[in-house]
Amino acid sequence: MQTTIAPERVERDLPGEESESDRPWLVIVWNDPINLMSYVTWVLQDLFGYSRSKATKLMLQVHNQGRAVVSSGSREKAELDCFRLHGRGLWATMTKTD
Amino acid sequence: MKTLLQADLPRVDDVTSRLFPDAFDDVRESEKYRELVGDELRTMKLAAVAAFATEIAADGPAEIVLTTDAIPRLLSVLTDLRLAIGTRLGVTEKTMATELEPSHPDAPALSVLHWLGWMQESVLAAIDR
Repeated sequence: MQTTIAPERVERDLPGEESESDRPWLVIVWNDPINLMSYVTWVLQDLFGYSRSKATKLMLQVHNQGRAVVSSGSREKAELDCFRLHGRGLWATMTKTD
Repeated sequence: MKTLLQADLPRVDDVTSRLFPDAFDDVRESEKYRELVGDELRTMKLAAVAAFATEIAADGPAEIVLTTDAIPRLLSVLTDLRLAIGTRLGVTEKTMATELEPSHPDAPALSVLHWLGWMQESVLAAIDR
């Protein structure tokens, strides 16, 4: 049985090819039945500096569609954003874009 | 809440899992993430709970004057309490909107959950931008 290396550890140095580590990560907030809509909106404003209207739009996406992408960036940034969101009690995960 | 956070329960407990969620789909990555940030998250939450407990420690009704710094911490404590109670009760969107018979065993905890929600809404309305 072969073991696979986690993709983010592979760095390709072939010319003209984008390194795996350059591809952005997405931070997703998932809906939960407990957190208040007003609270989620406030957290998005407070953590990311989003306007009230943008934060509300994202919150409604979470509420109605089950999830929303709230930020993106390098792995380190995504981990930090997840950490901050978890610190506020939101359910957040990170995933690499395809 | 303090007991729960200090106990550092294995993540088979659903409340602990909700307070310290997985960051990745992949189990190994999630474990790495948890090793990275778990202690700091727990410390932050414990500090917020401890500060809040001190503020309301006196007997009788508590009056807390909210400073700008104290607000995120208070909201954090309220959230964690609501998450713990709500997860323990296994609430859904539907059960959150349903009123229980007072004799129902979950009724006291659910009303605390709703009261904490009302308190949180009040704080948020007070800082409304």
